[in-house]
Amino acid sequence: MNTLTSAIRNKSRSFKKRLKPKVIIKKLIIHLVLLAFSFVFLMPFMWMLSTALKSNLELFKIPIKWIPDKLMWENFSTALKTIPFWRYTANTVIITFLSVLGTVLSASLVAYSFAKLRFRGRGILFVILLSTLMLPGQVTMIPLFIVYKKLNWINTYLPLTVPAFFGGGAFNVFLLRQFFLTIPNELSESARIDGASEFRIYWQVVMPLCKPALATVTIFTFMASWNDFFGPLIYLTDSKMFTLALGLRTFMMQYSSRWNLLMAASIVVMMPTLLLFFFAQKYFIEGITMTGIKG
Amino acid sequence: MKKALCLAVILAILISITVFATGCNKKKDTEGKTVITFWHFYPEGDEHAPLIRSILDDFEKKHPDIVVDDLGISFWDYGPKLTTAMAAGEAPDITIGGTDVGIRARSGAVLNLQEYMDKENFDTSIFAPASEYLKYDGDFYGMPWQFDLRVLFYNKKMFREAGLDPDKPPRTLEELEEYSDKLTKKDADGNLEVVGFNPRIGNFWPWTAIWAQGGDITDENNYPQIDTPKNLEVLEWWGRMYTKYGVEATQALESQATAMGFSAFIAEKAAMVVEVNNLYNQILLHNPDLEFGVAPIPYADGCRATWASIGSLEIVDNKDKEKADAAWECVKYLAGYDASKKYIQGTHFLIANMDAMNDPEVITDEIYKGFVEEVQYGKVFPFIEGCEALNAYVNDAFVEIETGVKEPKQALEDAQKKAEEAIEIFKDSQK
Repeated sequence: MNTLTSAIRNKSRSFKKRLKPKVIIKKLIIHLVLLAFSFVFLMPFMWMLSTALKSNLELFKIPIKWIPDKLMWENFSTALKTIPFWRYTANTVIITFLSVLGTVLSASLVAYSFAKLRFRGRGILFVILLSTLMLPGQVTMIPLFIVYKKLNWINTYLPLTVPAFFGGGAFNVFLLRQFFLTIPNELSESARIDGASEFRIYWQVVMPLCKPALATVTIFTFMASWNDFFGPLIYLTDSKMFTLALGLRTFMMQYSSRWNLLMAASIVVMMPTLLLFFFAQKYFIEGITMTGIKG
Repeated sequence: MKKALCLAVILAILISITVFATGCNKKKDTEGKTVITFWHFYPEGDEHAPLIRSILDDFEKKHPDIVVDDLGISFWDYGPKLTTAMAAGEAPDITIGGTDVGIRARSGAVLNLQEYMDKENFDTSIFAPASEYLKYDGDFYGMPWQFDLRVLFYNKKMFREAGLDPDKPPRTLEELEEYSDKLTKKDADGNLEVVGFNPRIGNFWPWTAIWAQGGDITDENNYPQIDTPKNLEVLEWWGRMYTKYGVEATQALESQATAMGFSAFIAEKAAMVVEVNNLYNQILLHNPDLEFGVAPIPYADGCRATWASIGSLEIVDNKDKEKADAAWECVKYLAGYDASKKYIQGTHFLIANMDAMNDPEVITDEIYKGFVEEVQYGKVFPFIEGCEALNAYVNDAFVEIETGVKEPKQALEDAQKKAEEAIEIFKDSQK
């Protein structure tokens, strides 16, 4: 009883402490500083939005008007009609979905092997894998192009999606391997004693515990694939198969740029990435302890 | 189990779509016809893309045995895409090239068009004089096609307000400076409201100024010659004009224009600028009420010149005679009178075909007439193998004067040294 009373007293004391003006002012200042910083980071987006809502005549007016005289909401529909927006969106969704799926499945499988399986040459293989991170894209660009050409894959989505199913990239493997290493081996050992196969341990024991890391890999891959410009540029030669990133370049012409339409289209294109981040951000902060490991 | 099944179904659908999309590439009946590919700068959605397609449709009507499969790629991405495709032997039959044609001609990547021209007695005198730069070893390897140049744009309303005659633009550098002083406006706090003229605002590059004053950056053997007394004279004038109305105010305007992608002339913040002729289209779009005129870049007597760029149509050597012949027909048509005229009327751009450019139906206003008059004075930036960054060396010297890093003479000497070193390194690499 005494314990309960003292607990209540302590709680009430801490509640009172939180309400102290000093604390309130301190928190207020912190929030104001944070707000000011977020405003700085929001500036480019505000500029995008302001430009997207300007008419052609207002684009070059000085002094610059942040809020245009007439809000040209129709710039959004014009931008989406100027390029085959929905076709490009469908193309981008297909490529992104397959890339994310391939990367998450194959990178986790490779990472599991490096983290949980013991085999000869594991260390050396891992170093070789990591060394591929040092290779600049420009070096592999033409050899890869020739390989895909020999496979007759040019002007298909295969060069943009199939490699994701074969390893998923050294960075993702490294990220997942580090995460897998933090999962106690006792879990897989007990599953093994229960007769589970290695694939079942990977799929049913380890993978469910790695949601935060998998979410991170998903977001990184989604962003890279959604915004990928160079891959579609060099491998696709039919404009019907183009992606959104390529479509946006239409607004940047040889002698001029249609800034308002470019910004309007860019805002629409970046929305899925923003939404994904908003919905998945909790996984970033979710720790391994929250996934149900018992002591 | 159900989840896995769902996943498999989704995957199967997506792969089917991918394969379906891949198989849907061919849109025309091409049986028995020669299909050639052509990559240009007008991607789907670009305002000029339908025009290019319509010109190609006209060609196909005239040549029912040839089909042109065209692809528009943004001007800014054309180089990387073409370079990769060429290196892997996947280049289209017709590409857009330029004065660096020598590299491709020497390596055998593109075909010698002179052989076709000679066979058909093709008249190349119809093209702008700058077309000579598309030759390698005396032969045309690129068919002259697109063209642009720089002129002085000036604000007539501001001229009137400053007591200047709006029909008498500055003719010499001295006049340009004098007019600029009269046109420059500052507010009560000394901030720049309107700049009369600043060499960094617009598209006026050091070599353009040098040429118009009788100087040059290469000698008669096309070897870099940057540190000459004439160039020093121009550099000193440039430095003075750049700093004249306050470096900070000028840099603020310049960086604002670059970062935000606006034209100071269209925004009526600069009374005179040297700009590419295509600024005209931008003015019509963004400030159609702007009262302006165009004039030659101020020049020394007998030295009238402007920097011109020329784009050509090149035929890639894809080791297929039938396709090469069809590509020649297409290239010839695109650079010909009818297609050129249609192109100018649809874009208001200039083109290398002088006959089409001088057609009375094409010259519909004084501004366009002003551009056409300048074509004969167009000078192309020299291409020197191994010294591709010559423009950067010259420009850097001018920047060093603007920022006060070096003395003018020293800046030019250093630029010369850099150019010579680059050529030496290239020569060594070829041994």
